[in-house]
Amino acid sequence: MVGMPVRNDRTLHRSYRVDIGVNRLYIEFMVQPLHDDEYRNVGARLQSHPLTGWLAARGWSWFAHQVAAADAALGGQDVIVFAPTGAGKTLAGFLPSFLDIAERGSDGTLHTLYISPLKALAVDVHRNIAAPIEALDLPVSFETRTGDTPSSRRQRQKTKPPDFLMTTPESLALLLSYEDASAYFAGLRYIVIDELHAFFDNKRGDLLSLGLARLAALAPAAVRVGLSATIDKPDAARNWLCRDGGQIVTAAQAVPPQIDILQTDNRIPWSGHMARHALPELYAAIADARMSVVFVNTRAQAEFIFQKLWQLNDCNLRIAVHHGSLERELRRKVEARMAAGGLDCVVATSSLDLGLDWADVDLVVQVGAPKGVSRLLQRVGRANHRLDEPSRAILLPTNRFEYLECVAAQAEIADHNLDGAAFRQGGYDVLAQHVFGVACSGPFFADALFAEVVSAAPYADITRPQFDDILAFVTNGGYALQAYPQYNRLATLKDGSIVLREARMARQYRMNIGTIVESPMMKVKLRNRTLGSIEENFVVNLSPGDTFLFGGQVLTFEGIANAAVMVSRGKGGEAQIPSYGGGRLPLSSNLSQAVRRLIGARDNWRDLPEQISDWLRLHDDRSTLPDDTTLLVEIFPHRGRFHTVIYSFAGRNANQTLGFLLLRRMKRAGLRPLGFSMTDYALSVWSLTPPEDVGPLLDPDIMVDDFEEWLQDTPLLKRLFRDAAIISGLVERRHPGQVKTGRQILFSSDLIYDVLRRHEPDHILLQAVRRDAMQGLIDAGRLADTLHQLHGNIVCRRLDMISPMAVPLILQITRENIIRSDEDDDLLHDLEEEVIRAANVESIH
Amino acid sequence: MDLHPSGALFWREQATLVVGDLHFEKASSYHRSGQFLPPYDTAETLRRLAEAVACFAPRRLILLGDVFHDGAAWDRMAQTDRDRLAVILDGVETIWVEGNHDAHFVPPGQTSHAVYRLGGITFRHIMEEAGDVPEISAHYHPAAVIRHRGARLRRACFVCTQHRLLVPAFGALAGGLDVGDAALALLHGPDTQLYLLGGKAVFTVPQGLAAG
Repeated sequence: MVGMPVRNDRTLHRSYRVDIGVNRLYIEFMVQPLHDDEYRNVGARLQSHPLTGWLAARGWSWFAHQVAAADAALGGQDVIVFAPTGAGKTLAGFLPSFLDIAERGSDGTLHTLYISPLKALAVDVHRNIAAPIEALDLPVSFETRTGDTPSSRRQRQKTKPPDFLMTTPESLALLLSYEDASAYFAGLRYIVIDELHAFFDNKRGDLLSLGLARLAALAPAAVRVGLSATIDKPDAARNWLCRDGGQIVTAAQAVPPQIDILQTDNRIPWSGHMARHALPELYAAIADARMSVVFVNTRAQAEFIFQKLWQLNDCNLRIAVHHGSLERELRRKVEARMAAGGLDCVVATSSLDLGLDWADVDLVVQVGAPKGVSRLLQRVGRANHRLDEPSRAILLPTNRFEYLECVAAQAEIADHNLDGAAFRQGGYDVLAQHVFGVACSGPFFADALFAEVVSAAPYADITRPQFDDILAFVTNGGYALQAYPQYNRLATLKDGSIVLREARMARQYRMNIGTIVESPMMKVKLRNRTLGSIEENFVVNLSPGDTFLFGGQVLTFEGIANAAVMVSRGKGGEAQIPSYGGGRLPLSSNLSQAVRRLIGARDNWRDLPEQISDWLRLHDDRSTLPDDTTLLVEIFPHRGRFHTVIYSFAGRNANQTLGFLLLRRMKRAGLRPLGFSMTDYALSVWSLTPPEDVGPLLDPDIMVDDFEEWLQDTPLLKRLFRDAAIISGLVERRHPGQVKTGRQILFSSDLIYDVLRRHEPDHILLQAVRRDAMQGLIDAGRLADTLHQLHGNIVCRRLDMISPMAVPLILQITRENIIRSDEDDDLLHDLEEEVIRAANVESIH
Repeated sequence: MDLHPSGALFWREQATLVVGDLHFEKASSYHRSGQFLPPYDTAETLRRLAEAVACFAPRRLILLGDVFHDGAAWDRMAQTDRDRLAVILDGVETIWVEGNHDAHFVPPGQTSHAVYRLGGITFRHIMEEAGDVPEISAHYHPAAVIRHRGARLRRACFVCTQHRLLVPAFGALAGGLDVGDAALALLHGPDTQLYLLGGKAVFTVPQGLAAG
């Protein structure tokens, strides 16, 4: 415990039932008696506030962390509360606001801004604070504002703001872009940020951080209150959120969860992700529970498992499915039925993560690998609203490697080893969007804005020249070649202030706010009925007659009409399972180390099911086991090619990067490499000639020359550029429902990328993409670390045939996206050859 | 006829090079609406054109319309780019076929043709609905998606039927229209061949294999 400790010597143990809104929280916790001298900012004010009486009338009292956080905030200090889900976080966040507004009274301006990463959560919190406000008839107005709020209400919120406003980072950015923003926020006293941990490692967090910096300029007195799940770097979190003197408050921890692995007598598959082998056992587990949520990693898994559970549904359980591409109304219906206790089980992707907060869930099943300890803990912790009883969760590994990962995750949780929380450097594209937004709100000075930007933690390292480049980009694209000042977005006035050249340009900004760029969605229509939406990227891979699972039914793809996907009901029970690109989250370093330790420590194998330990033993006999100190490389022939398998355990992103680099290196060495496939654990490169010596191939210097060369023409950067082009405002966002023009000859960001790279390779947007890539998709840091650590300890085994652990990689080759090489030509050439072979004719040229 | 991976077509017997849809100054036309696309598309298109001309050394060059993205494109074009164009066209008989974007514009001193006929073939910007006269046209920026072994690839392409040949757009930022689009229904048929532009070669794919 850091910051303001809650001491044990004067705590008393009591049980309370806290009922905030529809949340039902059965909690046992430590209560700190209040002493005015200790909590000088809060003590007397809390005792006399009607909320205390309201709690007392129900036999409840304040949590120590709620009081400590309020004390810091009322003293004018920013504060972060680390507390498990369900430990009265909402009240911890709003307590300072309630106390302050009780004394001050509402002055008709915005008093408290609540920001959550999810619209659904903002709506839920709205409900939670409504309960005491309405019960006590407190003179406090509160409203929610998200992208879904009707424009009439938004308009009113602009002219007559509520005291408390519940919103999202995007809506905050929008509010900040209005010309009257400084007046609108002038009376702001508190900013509550929920699920703070969800903002540290992504562009939405960058956007929020810049929004907070702006608010600090407009309303310096507004205190920030962050609510976060427990993470391993509380000080870094404080640095992200708090200005000088920020406080940390840590709540008493919940009882550790009880996490089991679902046992089955069936053979656990060597690869695959559909959990076919354990469905009856899964069904038995959910039949046993009162209300369960089965979490899966991809939508394809959700659809498949939902359908299979219904086929097994002898007990007539009420089972529903919930994922991001179902119509919003359908999803809301499922959530409402959950809350009302009208369901026994929901099969869901992360789209439901928050639904857990308001339903009486007593079992969480995680299908597939957890990928990270912290993520698993957060998911599991949500299910349980009793801090004195362990949450119950069951893991269902879908293949053997995942089984090891699940066992390792169990051990890590028992040892309280959280994953290293990732903090990122802010994206230049997000900064460009922000600068445009600032200009929309009124004149600004570059010096002042720069000072403001570097006060946002993700941008602390940005230099003035970089900032100036971004400013130039917003002004006119920032190209070395510039010819048309009459079209500039921004203009500099005589006094040095910078203004929007034409007020109407603000519209362009407001239409393009946000950092989430999704593949455009297309409506799925069964005759005239809309079933939901599906990514265009998925649709382009369908041919008429293909069947796929959607919304729990088998549908046949008929074609595209009026920009909608037309389907009919499929005949027969089985659908071809689409391979969605889900599960991109790479395995955390922490967990991958734990898996390696597990494999290396034979003493621990006795806890593994026999078929898993037999599999490890078999691998040991045929090859060598990879452990946490060596880098195992296997070389074996398979179907006329030589596979070089590298057990790096570096996560799929780093493995993918290594794959691309090895293709280059092996090509140069004349080994004629043809392609590679990867998992989180290992990488397989296949070639016509086997490498003689793998040491030089895997020398860490691959991260220098080959890396630079590869980075110049990797298609991965192109992919990132698509997002950056939209976020930065270079091209306009396509909006859902926006009908494509008949001749879709707009411009493609891929072409822009090619032109820009050739003619201005140092352009700020290309720098932006590179900066993003190094942090995530390419994972260069993790790859370099792995190579440096293990380079001296390479164990190379030459085998006559495929080894047991390599099987998943080889199976994947026929099944999933395989990266053949960087050059499209190889793919086209291959297709042409095939056509020619099929047609039995000579080349047409 | 030679199909070049740049998107140019060379008719050897007539020593004639054909390119469609250059769309000079497309990027700058978007600057007006506050979308600052990199203003290098003209230079890049010229670079490719120079390369194609150097490669085939044609006697005649047919520009199949939409050379300029809009009527004011010439005015926006940098003097260096205009000079560069003049150097490329120097000594080459240049036929300016009218497009829809630049219907009323050709550079000073040039004349434009609504259609142009050469060796029994008609050249026009937009294909004719009726008729079975051999015809080469542009305008649609044809592109095709193919799927192969789990990968998906979209490429500009030539489209070839018995009487018609559609050339891809040549401009660096020209974009593409899917060959499966209803606007190209005239070209849909079992014998239609697509020639996809690769980085270094052109690849033949029957239209039936394009994913659309």
